[in-house]
Amino acid sequence: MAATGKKVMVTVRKAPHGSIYVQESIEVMFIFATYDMDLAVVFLDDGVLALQPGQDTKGLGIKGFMASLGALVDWEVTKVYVDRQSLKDRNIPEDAIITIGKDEETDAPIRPQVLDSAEIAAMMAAQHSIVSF
Amino acid sequence: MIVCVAAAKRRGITNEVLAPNIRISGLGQLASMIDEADRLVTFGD
Repeated sequence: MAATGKKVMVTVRKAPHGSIYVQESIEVMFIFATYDMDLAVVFLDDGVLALQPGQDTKGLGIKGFMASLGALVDWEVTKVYVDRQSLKDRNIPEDAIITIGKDEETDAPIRPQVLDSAEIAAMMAAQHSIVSF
Repeated sequence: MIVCVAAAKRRGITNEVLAPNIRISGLGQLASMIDEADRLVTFGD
C-alpha cells in the first residue's frame, strides 16, 4: 500500500440528500485513510448540512451516512474542518454540529473544527491534491 | 481509462456496458495514482 503520507484534502460541498456525493465522499475518506494519506476533510457550502444531527435516510431507501460520519475518528480521519461562514449562512450554530468520535483518553466528544475561510484557503494551498465532492 | 467500481455499480455501469478500453477498478487505485501523480484534475458539477 502507498504510505508516503502525501497531503490530500477531500472537500464536501453538496447538500446531503439530493445526490449521492456525501456518501461517496465518505467512501473516499475511508480509503484514503486506509492508505495512510495525510488526509484533511473540509465541509463547506451546502456540504455543512451533512453535519446536522438526527438525519435519517430510511424513508428515502438509501444508506444513511450519519453513523459513518460519527465514526470518522475511529477510521483515523481526524483532521476534519468546517467553514464558519457556510454554517452562519445556513443558520447552523457552531456547537450544533455532529460529533465525529471521542477523545481516546478523556472520552470527550470530538467535533469538526470550525475555521475561517482564510484558514481553509491556506490549508488548500498546502495540499498535494484536492478531491472535491 | 479507469472507472470506480462503486460509483459505476451505483449508476448501473458494469463491464458489459463499458466502452472499449475502459476498465473498472477501485478507490485504492485512485489513492495510489494520486500518490504517484504530480497533479490531479477533477471534473464535477
